[in-house]
Amino acid sequence: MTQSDAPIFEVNAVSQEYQLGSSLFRRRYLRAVDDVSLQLRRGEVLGLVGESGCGKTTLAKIMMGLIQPTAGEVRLNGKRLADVPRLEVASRIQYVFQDPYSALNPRHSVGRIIEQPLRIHGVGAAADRAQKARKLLDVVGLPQRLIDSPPSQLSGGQRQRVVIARALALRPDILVCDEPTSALDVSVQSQILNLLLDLRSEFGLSYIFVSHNLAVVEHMATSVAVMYLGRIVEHAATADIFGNPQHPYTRALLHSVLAPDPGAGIPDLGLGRTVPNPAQLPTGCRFHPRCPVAVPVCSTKEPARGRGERWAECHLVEGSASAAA
Amino acid sequence: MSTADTLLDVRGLRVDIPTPNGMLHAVRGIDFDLKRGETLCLVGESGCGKSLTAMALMGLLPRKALRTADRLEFQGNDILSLPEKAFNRLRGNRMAMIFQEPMTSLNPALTIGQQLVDVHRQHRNVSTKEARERALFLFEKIGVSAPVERLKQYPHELSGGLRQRMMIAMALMCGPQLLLADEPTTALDVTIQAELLRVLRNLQEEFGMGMILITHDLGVVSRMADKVAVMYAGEIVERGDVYQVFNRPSHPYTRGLLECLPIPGRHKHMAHLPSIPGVVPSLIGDLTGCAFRERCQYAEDRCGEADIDWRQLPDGQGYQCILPASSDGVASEVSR
Repeated sequence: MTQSDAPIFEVNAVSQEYQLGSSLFRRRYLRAVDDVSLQLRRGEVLGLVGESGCGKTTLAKIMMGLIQPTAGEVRLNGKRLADVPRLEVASRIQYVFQDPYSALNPRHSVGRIIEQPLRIHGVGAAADRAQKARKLLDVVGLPQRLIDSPPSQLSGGQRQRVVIARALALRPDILVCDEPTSALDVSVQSQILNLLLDLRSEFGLSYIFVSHNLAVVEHMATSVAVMYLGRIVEHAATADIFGNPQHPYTRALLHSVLAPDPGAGIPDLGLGRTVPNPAQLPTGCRFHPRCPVAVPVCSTKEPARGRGERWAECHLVEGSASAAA
Repeated sequence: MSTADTLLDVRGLRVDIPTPNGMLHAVRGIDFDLKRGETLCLVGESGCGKSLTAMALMGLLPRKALRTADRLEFQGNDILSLPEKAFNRLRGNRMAMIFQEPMTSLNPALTIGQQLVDVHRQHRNVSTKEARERALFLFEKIGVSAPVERLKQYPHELSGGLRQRMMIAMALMCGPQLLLADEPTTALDVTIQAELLRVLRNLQEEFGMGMILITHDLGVVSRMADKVAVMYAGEIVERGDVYQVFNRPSHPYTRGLLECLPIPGRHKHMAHLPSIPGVVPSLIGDLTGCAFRERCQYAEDRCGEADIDWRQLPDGQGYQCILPASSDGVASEVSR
């Protein structure tokens, strides 16, 4: 796997605000993504983890160019995404959806679904496109006999293979995989993960891998971004995140992974019962109301914003000897 | 087999659903029992019949589904032949259920307080005030913040985790002896899941309830179960206590499920994970032999020729396969 140093994809200081409604005197905003910067190099797999409502999906949509961020910019191969024509963006970045049951048109055949991006982009003649679709079936490990079948005749795992084949049709560089296996059974999950790993080495693909399943992220990702209420609160290489987590939130997430271990019991994460509300961000560190190790400064002062390859946005980490480089 | 401690005794439970293509045998003759204070986990993948099993126990099957059993006893009483009215006195009272998606199980038009009070007064001769006190007592146990205000709120005003706590409170209002929980934490974040599982376990210990926990998550099973039943294609293919099933999985399906999970340290980073090839067979019509044989690496001709005998090990573990018990550790486990 080649990992050249120039990022093929950059997210620079991106924010996304939604207006929640306004009164005569005041407007209220929800900042779903707050000043996020990330980079992706060829062949990298960036794991994006966090709880529901943390802004993962909004960030993924911004990366796809489906939402124009209210601040900041996304760059694809050095060019501003906003300046790149829509079709060209779609040919470089594709999306693999969470639920393969709703991501496929039930009235179209598998072949037609896989060909659709080629047709929209005017690639080749009809016969070429049909041939390409057949080849893509091979690539994702589906039997040729399914080409005329409707999705309803396919199992969940087979449908997810169709979703992946369609995403690959235009030979993109980047796949945004949004919980690609969470709707699938355990025995099928590993088949799809293996396929994604194979495709990465075969085509030099890069992935943004959004998941709440940390065991899967640990297996699949080369680096991990932990998102909390709109910010990436910790970012590091996968081995560092899992081997030496710095942010208390990351540590709590890692504790919440319940690997099979009879008799081990259910860990106490120490997060208390406060539920994070993106519409009402706490003062200071946004994690402090749930943080088991918070000190007084955490409720008044926001931790320094992270940058570079490894960071953890936490007052306690900054003060320690192992401060982020 | 059944003793004074036995809460639930199920023998030969079947659920059949007529479809345009023939009879779908969703649950194909399963046996299990549950004692007071015990947790049984039913684990398996989608379509294995685990949820329908719970629905069959609660009498909540779809109207056209047919439930039959050789024996279905709750606290020594036959519930198979119980008239609807008599069964309604049990359901929500001595046996209660929690569902995966609390939003669809709570009434959106009534406050939480009204719903909790209604359940209690349905089964108990208590005043509204007493019912509210019972709800607040349970909120305390379940860890609900601002309990008095919660009673006035509607389900949509609550977070997913809090809604599921309300479902738990509702299920416990009448102090049930049996609690069925169908994927109670699957729709929740992992951080909330851990907290809720702790709550469930503490409540179960405190009230001495028997619990049937239905889940596809082997990690949850390993940490919650006393006993485990692994289901595949409508049958229980392996059962035992939690240590037996996890340390000595003997059915190839159980072993396959455990091997598929990405576990750090066991699988090399970004290397291929083991998987189970193929798909679950259709449950329409008759199935002869082992339902797993098409996906099994150890399958032989005889696996498809006749029904497979149940192998019972002396220590209580059992499984339905022609293979000898798992080689890794039978001797050491038995001698322990």
